Amino acid sequence: MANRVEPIPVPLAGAETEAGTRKFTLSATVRKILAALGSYGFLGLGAIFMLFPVFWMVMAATKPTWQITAPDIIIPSFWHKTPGGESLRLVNLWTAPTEDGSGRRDVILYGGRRQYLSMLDANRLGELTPIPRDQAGQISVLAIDDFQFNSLTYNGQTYILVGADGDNLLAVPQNGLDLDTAVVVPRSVQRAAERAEVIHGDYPLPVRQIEVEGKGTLNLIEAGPNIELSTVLPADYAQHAILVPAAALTDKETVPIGSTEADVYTLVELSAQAEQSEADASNPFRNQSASQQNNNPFQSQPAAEGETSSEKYLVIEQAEYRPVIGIDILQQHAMRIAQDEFRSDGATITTESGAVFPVGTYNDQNVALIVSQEVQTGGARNVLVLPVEQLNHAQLILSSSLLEPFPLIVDGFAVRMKDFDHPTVEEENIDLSRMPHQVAILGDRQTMALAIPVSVVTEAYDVFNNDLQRNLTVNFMLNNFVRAMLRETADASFLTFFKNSAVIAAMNIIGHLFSCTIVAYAFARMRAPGRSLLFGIVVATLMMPGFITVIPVYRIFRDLGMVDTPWPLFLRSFFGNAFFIFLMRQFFTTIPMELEEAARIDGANRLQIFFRLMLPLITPALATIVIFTFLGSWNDSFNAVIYLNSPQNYTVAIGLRQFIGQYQSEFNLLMAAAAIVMLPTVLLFFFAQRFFIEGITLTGMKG
Amino acid sequence: MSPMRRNEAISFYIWILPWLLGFLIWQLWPLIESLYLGFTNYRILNVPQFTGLANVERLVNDRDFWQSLRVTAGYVIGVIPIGNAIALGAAMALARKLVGVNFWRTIYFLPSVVSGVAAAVMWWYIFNPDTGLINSALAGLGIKGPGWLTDPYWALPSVIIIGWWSGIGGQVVIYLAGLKGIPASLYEAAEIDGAAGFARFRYITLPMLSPTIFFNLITGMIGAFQVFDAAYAITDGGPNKATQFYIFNVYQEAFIHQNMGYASLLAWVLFIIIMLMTVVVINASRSRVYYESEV
Repeated sequence: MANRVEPIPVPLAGAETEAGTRKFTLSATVRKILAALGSYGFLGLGAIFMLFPVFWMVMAATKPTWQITAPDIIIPSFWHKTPGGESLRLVNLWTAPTEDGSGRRDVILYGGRRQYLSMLDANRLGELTPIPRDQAGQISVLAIDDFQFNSLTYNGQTYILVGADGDNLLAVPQNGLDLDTAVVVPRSVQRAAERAEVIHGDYPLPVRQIEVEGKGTLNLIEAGPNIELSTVLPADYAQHAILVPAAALTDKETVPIGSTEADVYTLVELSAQAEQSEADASNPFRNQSASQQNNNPFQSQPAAEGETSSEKYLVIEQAEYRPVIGIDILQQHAMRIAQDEFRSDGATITTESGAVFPVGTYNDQNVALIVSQEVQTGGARNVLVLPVEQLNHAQLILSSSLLEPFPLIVDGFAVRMKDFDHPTVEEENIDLSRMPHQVAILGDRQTMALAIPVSVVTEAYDVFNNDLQRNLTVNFMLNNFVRAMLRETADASFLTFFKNSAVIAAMNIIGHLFSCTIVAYAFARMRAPGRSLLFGIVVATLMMPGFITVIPVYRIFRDLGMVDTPWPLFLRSFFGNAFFIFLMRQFFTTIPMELEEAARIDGANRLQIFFRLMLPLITPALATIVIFTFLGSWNDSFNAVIYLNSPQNYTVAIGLRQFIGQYQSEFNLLMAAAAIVMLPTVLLFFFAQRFFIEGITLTGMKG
Repeated sequence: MSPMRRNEAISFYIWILPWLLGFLIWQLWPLIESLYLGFTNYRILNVPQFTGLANVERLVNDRDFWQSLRVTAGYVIGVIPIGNAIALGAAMALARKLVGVNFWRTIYFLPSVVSGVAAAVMWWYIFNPDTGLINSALAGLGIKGPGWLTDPYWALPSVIIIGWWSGIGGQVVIYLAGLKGIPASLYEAAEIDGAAGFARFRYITLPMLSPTIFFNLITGMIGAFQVFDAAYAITDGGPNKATQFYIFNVYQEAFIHQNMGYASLLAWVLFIIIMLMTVVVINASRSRVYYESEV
């Protein structure tokens, strides 16, 4: 645009507005500063809108899964864990105040949360003050020693709320309160206690009759809010944990432990012949016939004859587990034999987890039957057996940590197995260093409990939930990006999608560079009848939306047999692109004619002029083509959606769409994948920002 | 025609052959064919048979069509005027010779280069009713946020917000270039005449910028009518068809239900709508757009 002053109608009408504003006379400087501040504020808000989603995505991409559902954790953190004894399970560590309140320490949680409340002896309440409800104001919590009371302020005095009568609240003055009449009662005890009514003055008060140690049965009235407490154990107790079938824990009883009380269980040996065992209840250790063979590896330690029957256990957590065995063990030791070679008296062996396998002998070796399967060719039944001592290598792992099992053929048998090379996030709870990389699933799901023998527990106490914190340290889990890349999505990983997208983008770039330059050069420098009409068509097609031709073009590619190949996504680039032709023509026309003529006089032909002279001169324009073609190709989802069906051919756009479907719950991996898909274009933008801005500006200025 | 001129003409046609072929094969012929297919029962595997006005009749009674038209119109209205106003505001703020113009411009433009599907996936998490950024922030203020993309009432506004996010940057850059093209002398003259603040905006910036605004409105509108990624990637047209955008509907008809003939008609209808809208905008702006060359 020219730098001339145009007589556009700068209105005198504006003077009215002006006169209006003049009334609040602000000096020009102040006004400028305010305007600048306003501008920065507006831009800042906009920048937050632009950047914060990206920040949130990157934060999510570097979090472990459990934090995805805990939005209070904004900066990704790593949860410290401690091994749960010999099991593979890792136990979450928390921090809590020490019992004497002198500091903080690492603890593990025992079971669920407990609720307590403060109660007062209704018979020793003192005088009750009725307070009109509408004058009561806000009820708050008042903590005195170990007690927490509902309190309110009325006429400048603090009261403790104990009940209501019609429109009045009933309360006792705090300063007249005898703390000796207060008791902290577990909610469960309060709920279970007998109801009664104490007439106090004019008011009937609902009370509970609860026996309090050293005081006899008292009529207690509710005087405080529910207080949630968690029972914690010192962290090092986790090393004594054993993994036992949940069903083997019986005889629940509540006993005092440390300074609190907890549910404890007796451990019994589970039997394969559970029905028989009921008749045989006097002997809790019904060893199966397999154990008579003297090399049963599954004598779990606590079940050693007789001596542990009195031990009680605290359960720290329960979960579904699966017995698995390293695939290498199976491949080395499993044997495929005909079923009649497997001699068995019907005995079974029960693994630690309670998984049961038939045992028998084969060539004088004790073997366990792993898989039994009809062999299709001969019709005879073959079985896969494993020497009994190899079952030692079986391990229990959380079933949630198993990826979708896929079959592996061992000696002709399909074995369900899983791959640990790309661990799922749940495996944060598993000590992977002790896991084989690939495992075969040996049995059904078992509910297992991680239990600690009561005899080691000398310390256990309750803490307020507010005082309990997860033991976290900041840790950006960058390996989420690697895992997102390697994660198989419908037979192909993101690595494949990336490669496909890159190849398609490269082909598009080559196509556009080839076609658009020569066509634009011809439009810029060669004279021919019909040239301006044709160039008019080029400009007209700029405005033509792509969707209008989609179906016939699809028809063409289908006839060419190119559906579900990358071809439809780049072939058309070799036929030029209206926008780039337009752009390049503008560039070519800015090159002085004289240069070309000089070259022609020197004897150069058209091709030589084009390649040797013109192309080097328009390198910046070529860069624009490369950048915008890459951008368009990488971000194109519509064509990819239409033409690509098999996962091996997917581009990143559809790959990401598939990822959503399959890994909805793993937002961290999903966000990592989205960030990876964004990365190439963002990087390109940062390195070639000038071309982006110029390109966009150029399109805008032609309007 | 001299032999030399003829040679040049022949080479011209050889050189533009790729484009010429491409235009005939990939644009002109498909354009005509899709108009024809629009009146056939084409379903990929059959030979298209002309069915007269059957598709038109179907179109008139097709609830999905009307719904997609409504939703897309709502999207265009939400994204284009408001988005342009925000972009113009940001560009004007940037044009005030602030510190770090490039820095701000980079931030604003960044979302424009991002893959639409990836952006949609990112926003899906931002909009997550329980754990998303927005509802977490609202919960911090004690407000229970809506279900956003899962709420039929909020889904379209949510997608419009995504549209702003990815669209504003490009518009800001174009507006900024347009603003830089306004000669400073105009503002100086205005200052002498006593025009300031809003008057300057109303009587100088707006008229001088009108071709740029016009361009942004038209191209933005054409782009917005073709919104697809968000519906494809995260909403699947839902909930309750609240984001059944037009092109997504065409895609579903053509490639999911394989009603390619009918989908061709749908595409043509949108094509005509876009052309009409463009004509309307051109007409409406003819008296208001000020081209410097006209004076």
